[in-house]
Amino acid sequence: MPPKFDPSEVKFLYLRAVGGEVGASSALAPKIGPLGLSPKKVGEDIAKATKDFKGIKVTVQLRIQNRQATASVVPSASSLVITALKEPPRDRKKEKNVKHSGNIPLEEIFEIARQMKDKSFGKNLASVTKEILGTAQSVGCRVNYKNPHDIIEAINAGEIDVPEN
Amino acid sequence: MSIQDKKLVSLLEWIKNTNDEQLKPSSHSYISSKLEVKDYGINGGRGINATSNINRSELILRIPPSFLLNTNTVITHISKYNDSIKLSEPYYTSLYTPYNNLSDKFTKVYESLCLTDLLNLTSFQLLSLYICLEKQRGENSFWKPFIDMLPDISDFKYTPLIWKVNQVSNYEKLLLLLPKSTKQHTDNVYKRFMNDYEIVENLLHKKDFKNYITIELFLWSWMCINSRCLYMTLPQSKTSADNFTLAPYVDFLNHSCEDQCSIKVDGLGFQVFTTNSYSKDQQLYLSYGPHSNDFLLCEYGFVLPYENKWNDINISNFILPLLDNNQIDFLKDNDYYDNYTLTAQGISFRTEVALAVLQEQNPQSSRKLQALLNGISDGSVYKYKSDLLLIEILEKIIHTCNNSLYLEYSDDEDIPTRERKRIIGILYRNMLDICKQVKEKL
Repeated sequence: MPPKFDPSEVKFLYLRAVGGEVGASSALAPKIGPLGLSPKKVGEDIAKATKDFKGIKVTVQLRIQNRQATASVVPSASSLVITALKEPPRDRKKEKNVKHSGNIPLEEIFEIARQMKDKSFGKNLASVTKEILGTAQSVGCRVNYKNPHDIIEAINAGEIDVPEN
Repeated sequence: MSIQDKKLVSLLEWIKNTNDEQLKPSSHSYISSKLEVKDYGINGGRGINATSNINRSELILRIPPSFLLNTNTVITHISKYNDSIKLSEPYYTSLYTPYNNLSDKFTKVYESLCLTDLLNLTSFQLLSLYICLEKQRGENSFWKPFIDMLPDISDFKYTPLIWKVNQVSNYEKLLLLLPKSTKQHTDNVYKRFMNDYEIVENLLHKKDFKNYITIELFLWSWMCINSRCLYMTLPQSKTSADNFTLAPYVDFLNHSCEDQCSIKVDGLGFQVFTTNSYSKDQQLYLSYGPHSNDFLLCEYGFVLPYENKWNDINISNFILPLLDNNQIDFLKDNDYYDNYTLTAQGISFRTEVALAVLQEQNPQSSRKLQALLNGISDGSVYKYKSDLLLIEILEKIIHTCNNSLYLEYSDDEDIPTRERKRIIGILYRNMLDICKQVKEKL
């Protein structure tokens, strides 16, 4: 009955939450309550784990093992790009449909690509960087004061050198 | 060189064996040169020691599938003696078996077992049967070096199951001394064991093989499997409990409650990676899972000498009789019935809900209760009365524990009994520690 190191003893839950806010835990409660975890406490833990991403929607991973939960942020390209814009935190209730029109230096895009490399299927850093640039384009921001897609083309043409890793 | 050392050397040679040049059964075997098996004396037994610094996420062990003892390998090995078994699935055919089949009276048993017989057994029953027979085959067995390194039955002397099956001196008294939850757990293990023994015994009986397996031998092989099986998904498994394997060398790794090694199983075999770095002369650990001392003792036969952060107390026995039918229905509907525990950090949310439900005549229509279940409120309205109830329960447990603490330092004349009592005393001390810590926080 007790094989050692049984991976099914550890449960993973993923949810989208707004960083730094104690969200509506009622979505969580029916799942984690019967596992012996207080929904209120877990809600607060999530808020604490996501405080670097204030006001941005992020994917949170809950690792539940024997009545103990640890929350961590799953890095996602769009939330990392938006954080890199360093916009002032805003009140989500008052401002809606915000345009992200800032600028990110290319160096920071490389940094994000390094974080995302494990998750991406890209062969090298250049291809992951291009993925991130695509996300930046969809977010609506600029990179090195240029349209992100111009940078992608520059990488393709070999005009910009991407570090190995 | 002691006998143990010689056995170890032959195990290592066996894992790295390349006698069969054509098939190269163990070309993927890998044991990092930074490891050695070391005897840590009475408190730890055998363990794996680092002979030099080991980095994080370094591959330290890889045991190829042909050297893992599990349903796949057992069926493949048995099929060599049995023409009626035709295996075509790749997870059987890819396994290495020695070319020469040595026949003896035990292989007659293999000849008589058909594939359905084998697949009807659980992994546990099949492996216990197989190890019992292979052990008796001695030199003829392919697995001899591995079976030789399995622990002796005396290594399990603290397991309550052994007390019961072998009827050690004073076993009835000892079993009565166990904490209630440990006693229940022991009864469950005993049931599992007897069930497996009967099924295997019946199978052999039906095929007219009598007295091939004694209960002592079966107990030994059953405990070896129970204490060293590692999780691995098998293609033909029917239940999740079937998903395990025995892995030579990997089973020397001792348990600690922190994660220190990770495991990956793929086509190359069973691999172990470190998850933190080790310096020279440190012991390597693998976490067997988040288990309390109580669980560790019943299943594996040891308790942790230092504080086990997964220790808990089950107080369902105190709470369940207080509930009326309406409250029980409510708890069952919401998946909160039974399994109420507390740990040193405090009570689990299940317990909190149960204590709150106790204060509601009509839990179905209580909005305060809904708010607690949905995580909107922290249940402070219930706190005062819950704490009173909890203190009452804790007092009862503390009283029992205080009455049993003497066991740890008992002066029984019979040394094995004294040792066993010491372990029981430790369980009570763990419980007392948790109760005191919870009570302080209230």
